[in-house]
Amino acid sequence: MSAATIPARQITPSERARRSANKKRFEQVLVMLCALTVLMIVLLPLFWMLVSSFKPNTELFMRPPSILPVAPTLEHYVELWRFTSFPRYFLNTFAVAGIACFAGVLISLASVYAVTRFEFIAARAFTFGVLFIYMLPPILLALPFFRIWFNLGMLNSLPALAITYLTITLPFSLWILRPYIEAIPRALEEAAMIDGCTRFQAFRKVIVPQAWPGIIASFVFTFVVVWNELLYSLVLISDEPKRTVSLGIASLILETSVYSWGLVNAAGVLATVPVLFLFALAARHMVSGLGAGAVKG
Amino acid sequence: MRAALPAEPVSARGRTLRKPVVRKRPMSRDRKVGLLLLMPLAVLILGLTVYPITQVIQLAFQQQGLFSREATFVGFQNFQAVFAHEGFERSLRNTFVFTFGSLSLQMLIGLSIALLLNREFPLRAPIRGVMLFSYLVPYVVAALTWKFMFSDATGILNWWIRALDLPIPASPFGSLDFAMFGVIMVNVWKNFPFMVIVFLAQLQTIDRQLYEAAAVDGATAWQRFRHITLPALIPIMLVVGMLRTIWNFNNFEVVYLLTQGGPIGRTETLPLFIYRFVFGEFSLGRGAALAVIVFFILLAMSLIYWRLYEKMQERFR
Repeated sequence: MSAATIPARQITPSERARRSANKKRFEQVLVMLCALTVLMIVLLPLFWMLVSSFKPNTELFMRPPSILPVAPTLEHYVELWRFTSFPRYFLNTFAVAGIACFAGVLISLASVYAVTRFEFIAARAFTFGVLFIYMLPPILLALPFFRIWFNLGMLNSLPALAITYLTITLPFSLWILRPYIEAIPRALEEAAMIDGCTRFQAFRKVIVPQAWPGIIASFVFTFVVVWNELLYSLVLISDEPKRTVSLGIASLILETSVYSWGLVNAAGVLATVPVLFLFALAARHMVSGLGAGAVKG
Repeated sequence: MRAALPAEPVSARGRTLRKPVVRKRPMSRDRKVGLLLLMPLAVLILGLTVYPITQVIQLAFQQQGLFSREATFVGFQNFQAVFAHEGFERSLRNTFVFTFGSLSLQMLIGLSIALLLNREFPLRAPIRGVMLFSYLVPYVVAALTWKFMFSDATGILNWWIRALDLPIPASPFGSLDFAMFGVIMVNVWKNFPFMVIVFLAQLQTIDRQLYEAAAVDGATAWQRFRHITLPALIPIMLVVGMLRTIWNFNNFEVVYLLTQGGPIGRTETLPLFIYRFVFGEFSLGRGAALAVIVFFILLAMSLIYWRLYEKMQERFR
């Protein structure tokens, strides 16, 4: 006991500092290893989808399963591109999501601008109204939408689907844009107008550039949400060539009894790429957007 | 526009209405412009939310086939039929198990990982970013990869379970006892990063000096967590708890894609039950009645959360 305490007293202050720094460093590496382990568990399903999409059919049935493809191949991607309607589905989804998000951001921009600049009494009611839409069960809205589009003879129509998606994109982009526009000082646009800009010019040259990060964030975020959406397209679209990517994959895993897993995995990888690409592009803003719903609520 | 400026009876009247006019700035006819800008949103909210809701309420009181235009008013018959249906109680129970089973695991895992990622360590930023991936991928991708991993001839987890002789079924989604656990697991995997983001954001607002002061006073790690971290997190936990409760409750995709409510109804939740009424039994009226019931259940739960939130706010102020 005493042998252990004596050397401890002889440590110089600088050495103690170094030891504690070493200890801290060791702790940090330990924490990093923990985080990496968790990360690997979380990513395993996606990793497995990715590697399996490059395995030829025979290798997919190999037992025990190979971890990395022994004979990597692009055959599933080629098959997907040439013999399925997936290129079409991708085009459909890009168009529908693009329109719904662009319209959503434009309308939100105008509305948020009006609400924050002109101080309507309705502003608070407006915020709660948006919150309310956000909370509605999608299945609750899917039924009347089915009915409404059926009555209008517009079931199975991609434009109808895009309009329906505004119920998703509008609340999100309103929420994300609002703090950005509120933060722009009024003096800035007033100065522009004193210098001879019309209100619209001031909007275009002052508000839009200032709120640009918010505009990008809400576009990217709503695009990802619509890209991932399944229920509305499942309810509203039944024609095979009009499917969205999600609906195409859903049909693959639901309707066929014997799966061509290579093909399904390749489709899954391609459906994931745009989402992760957009996320990487706007990561900083996305994170605040992802949390926006909760923090504002 | 500019030519119209001199004669402005409307704006003159508007000026008398708004008494404390500061000083007329170069922007005139503000309110008109503002109303004009709000028009599209107002039209869309009416058309895409208010009208559909009136429709669904109307449908709930009608008997109506899926593809027919004829409808007859039937009063509360749809509601009675729903309550009397043998599947109603079961799917209500399933929904609560799914919702709160997922919620508690999402909370627990989300909080643990947020606490882990809140520490300082090398490569923190990229690890944080990549941790969100499962939240970003489409539900169909989440479903396909988990289904694939548990599939009989090709799944890796399926093989591992068999190889290690684990006491769980090798294909849980088809098992009577494990199907619910399976769909909850996928739902947790898909959505826990949402909790991580929100908790991390809140953790970063806590003043570090509080921890240092507590450490100087000799507080243990648990005491610091209990008396500093937890009070700071509880209000946000209630908020995300409410959001996630609603989202889990409404979740259709996970269960539909993995089990379609099976085996023999063991995982059929209310949204799937509604879907089955409408697109399986072609009864739009009953589906709508059930949707209205679901809405009121959600409303009741939100009110409970709201009260809790207010109570907690008082306690921790």
